[in-house]
Amino acid sequence: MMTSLLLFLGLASAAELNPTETDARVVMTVVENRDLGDKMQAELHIEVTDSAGRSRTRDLTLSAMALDSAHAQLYRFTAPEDVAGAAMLAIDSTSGADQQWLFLPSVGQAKELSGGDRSGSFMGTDLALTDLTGKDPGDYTYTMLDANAEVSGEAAWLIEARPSTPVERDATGYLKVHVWVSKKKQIPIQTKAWVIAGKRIKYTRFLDPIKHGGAWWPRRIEVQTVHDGALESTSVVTFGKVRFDQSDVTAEQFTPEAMATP
Amino acid sequence: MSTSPAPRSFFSAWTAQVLRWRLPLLSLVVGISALAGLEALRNLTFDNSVEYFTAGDVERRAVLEEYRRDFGRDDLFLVLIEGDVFSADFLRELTTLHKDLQQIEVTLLDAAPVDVALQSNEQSKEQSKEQSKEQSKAPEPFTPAGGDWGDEGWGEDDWGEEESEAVAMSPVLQRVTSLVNARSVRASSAGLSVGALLDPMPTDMKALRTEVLGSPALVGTLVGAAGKHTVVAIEAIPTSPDDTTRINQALRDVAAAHDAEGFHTVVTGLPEVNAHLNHILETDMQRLVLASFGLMSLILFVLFRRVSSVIASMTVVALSSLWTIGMMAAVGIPVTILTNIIPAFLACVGMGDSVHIQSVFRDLRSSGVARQEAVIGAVGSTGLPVVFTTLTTMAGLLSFTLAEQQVVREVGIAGAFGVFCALLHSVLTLPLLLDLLDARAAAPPLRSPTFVDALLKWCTALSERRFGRRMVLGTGVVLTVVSLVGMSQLTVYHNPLSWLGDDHPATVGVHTMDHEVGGTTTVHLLVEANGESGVADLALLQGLEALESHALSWTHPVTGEAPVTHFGSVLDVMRETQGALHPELGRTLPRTQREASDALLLFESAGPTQLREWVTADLKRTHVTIRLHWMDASSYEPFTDFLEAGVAEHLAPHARVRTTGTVFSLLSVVGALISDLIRSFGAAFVAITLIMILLLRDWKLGLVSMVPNLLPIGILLAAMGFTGVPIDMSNLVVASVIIGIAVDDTIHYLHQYQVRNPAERGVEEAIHYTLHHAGRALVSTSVILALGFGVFIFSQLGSLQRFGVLVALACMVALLVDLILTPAMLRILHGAPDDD
Repeated sequence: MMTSLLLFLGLASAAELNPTETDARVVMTVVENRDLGDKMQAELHIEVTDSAGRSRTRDLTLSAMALDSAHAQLYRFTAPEDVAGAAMLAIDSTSGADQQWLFLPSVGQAKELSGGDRSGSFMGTDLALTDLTGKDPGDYTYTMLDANAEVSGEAAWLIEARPSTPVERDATGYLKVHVWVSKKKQIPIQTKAWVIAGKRIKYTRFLDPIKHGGAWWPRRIEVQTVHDGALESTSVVTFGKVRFDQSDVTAEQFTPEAMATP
Repeated sequence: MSTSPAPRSFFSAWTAQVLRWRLPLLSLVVGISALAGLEALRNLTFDNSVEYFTAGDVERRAVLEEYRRDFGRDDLFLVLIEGDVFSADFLRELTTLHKDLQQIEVTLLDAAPVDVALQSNEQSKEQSKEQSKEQSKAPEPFTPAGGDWGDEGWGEDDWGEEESEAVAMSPVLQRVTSLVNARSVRASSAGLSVGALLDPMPTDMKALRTEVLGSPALVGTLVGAAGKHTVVAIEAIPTSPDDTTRINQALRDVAAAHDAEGFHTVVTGLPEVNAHLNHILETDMQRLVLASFGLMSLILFVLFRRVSSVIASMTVVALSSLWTIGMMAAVGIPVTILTNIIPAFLACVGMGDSVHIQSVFRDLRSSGVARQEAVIGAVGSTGLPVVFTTLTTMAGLLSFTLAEQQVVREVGIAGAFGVFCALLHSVLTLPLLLDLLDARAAAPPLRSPTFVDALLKWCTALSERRFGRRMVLGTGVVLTVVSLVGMSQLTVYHNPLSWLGDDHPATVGVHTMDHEVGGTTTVHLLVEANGESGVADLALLQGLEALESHALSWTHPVTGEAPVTHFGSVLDVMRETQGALHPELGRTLPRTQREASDALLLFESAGPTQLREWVTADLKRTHVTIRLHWMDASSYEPFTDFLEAGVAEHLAPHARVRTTGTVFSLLSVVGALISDLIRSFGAAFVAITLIMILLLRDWKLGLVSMVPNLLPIGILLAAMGFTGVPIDMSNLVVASVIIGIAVDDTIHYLHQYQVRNPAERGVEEAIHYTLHHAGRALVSTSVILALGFGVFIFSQLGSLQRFGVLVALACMVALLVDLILTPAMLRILHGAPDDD
């Protein structure tokens, strides 16, 4: 999504928003810059289901922290057994290109994933790799579509976000995203994204939030991809045992070389 | 043994009532005909799709549907391009063509996409109607689970002005694949990338050529080994046959717009072949039926010297066909390669009935009988045999309703309905028209050509003497034996391309695709892994590799050729990934289970979109696409037998494997149709025999009457066997058409024979009476029908040409058998004087 799903670690705390705010950029800047803590650990359960109802699951652990000029996330597969031990490292650079590596036990070293599918999918889910990285509000134009929207009775702003540069649009793969921002929690509670590739629509809901410090954190993300009016696939990412400020999360862990070390 | 006068009185009384109420009845006929015509114009459909022909085979269709749901359609539209593939100009043009093909604009006329697999035909029609109703109310957009999306549900205007930038695919298409977006797995010192081959456009054409021509996944599927041909493969959404034709036409237009020197484009593939066949069927049906009707009219005029007679007979034929087509349109029976013969068949039946009635009518008129009395007398004396010819023909057609295949059952239903219409118009509309149109007070004496009289006399005289009878019967026995030998030579060969001819653009396209790239048709295996590791199970992958070698080694048992050109499977993905991870090993299978699992995980992460083309979300199912040269349907059986033996040997412990695909379904249909036709014909034979016994009230005569009914069929099938004309889907029903013609001749002959009461008046007088009263009509109807069907030789389709020749020959054979063999048998059965 234009607004990152997971990680905005180590950023400065944002100001509280007035529920009567009508400036979309003000709202989105606060949302994008909200402080979600640092040195985070969690367990992830991913389930991907196709239109025929067939699904696969992956269990992972997640470590994440803010580096000097980047945000790093390290995923380690724990189940099923045949993929346990594999790991994925994503570096979201604030100054250069983003990078991903995959460590496979049978190879014994990390291999960088590069090229064409970056805006496509994260581990074969409906989430794009780009959804996992933070966004600079400066790369977007925002329009307030409805300052008094509601989602299941919860007051929200409905804002349209558009990449303002071709580079950003190519990187995300989105033409535009409609974001419903909760006025109470000041986080996105659902989005609708227009995916350029294949002219798809992606509906995402952020559920079961917990509050950490001054900000809310969704513990369940449901994504449904629709093509030509028909549901194509669904991905559900569930977070468990979410912990912040963990001292055993260190910068040394977020290198390709360190991926071989469990 | 004499025919009861009661039915004759009934038909006389019936005709008197018809004439009494002529205006209301004529209005009724006109009204129903108008309704039938409107219905036909609005709702008649043409459908020769494999989906429709396999509608009754629920099990096979279920597998095909599973395949399509998981991996998309296999009946791809193909655009073949010839030129210097690995040149910058060619690839730039290919990129433009790819984009233009993706964005074709087609307005689908059907309310809802049709994918009738998994359903019986009746179910599919019901569902299609329901879908149409639903669609006509309002489209139901996808509703995301939970949430409150307000007006943000799926809507047509959601993409706004940027749509042109965002549209990557026409809504009627699912996938477009070419070298432009072909999967490219590239390894570098740093890692691995999975992306589109021409994104970005390579600058080193030599390196690209080496990469592409070195890829087993691309050569034989998207590019020819010589680098002179490439293919754009287009998968459409499920649509009705009419909409498929529209999509095909749109693709043709785009391909033609890009056609240039050094970039020669041609559309090919199964949908293209079907589009041509449907188009020809549609135009041929109109053209040939008109020509056939015109020729029949001309002969009728020569015969009766009356325009009114021509109009009357042709009206019976035309209205019978119109009502039948209207009924087909109303109940949703489409015109298929089988049902498209119904108008021609009804021409046989309607013409026979009306010529027999009109012959008597003309005789009565020429002897001075008043018009209405002549009409009543003609229908009164011929009504009974007309009813019985209708009953036997209906029995023959209704036997098709015992078939397993829906398409065959539809021939039976529509045909039987049409025959009943022909009867109705013969005893209702024809008397009205004769009364209305025959204005002249006295008709000139009917002058039959002298050669007809001479022929009749000669045929009958052949068996007047004992020696002649023995010669005729001996010839009949010899013909029977020869027929059996000839029938044993019959082959089953269903190849729609052979109907189009070698020079037809669709045939040329298929052959070019076959020889320059690597095969137009495909057979698929749906593979469900048993093991915990799913598709990554190493034993399964090794089994697949063994099966790959097995399949590629197949040679055609007759031609000795090796038509299998490519074995596409998840092996390609695994080998490419393994090659990227371990460049020193090249494109090989993983060596350990962990390597296999890791390779799949890597691809899942690096190229999930590409992986979905081969593996389902649960990683438990995959498929194999075996590409072959175009072959006739009967050639697939030995191949699939060979393939399934390989599956049993190499994959059985590791996976459940089922063979499927459009071509495989076609093979199954042809086999099932032949079984159906044989079973239906057996039932028709029994029913017609019983009706003949009932009509003739003499079981011996009833049984004997089947000889002239069956012998023409035997002779025709033998002729097909000896001359190498194969049985295919287009001529499967020819035996039933022939028995319909032969039975009509026999019934009219034997009815007149019995009317003269041979037991009292003697066999010779009865035979001469029969020849006088029915002989000329028999010759006339046979000649009319033979020439009428002979017109089909001018069809654009070889199958229809053969059908016309076969039926024309059958008409004449049936006539000669009735004129020569039947009197010989009657003389033996009822003791001619020379036998005493």
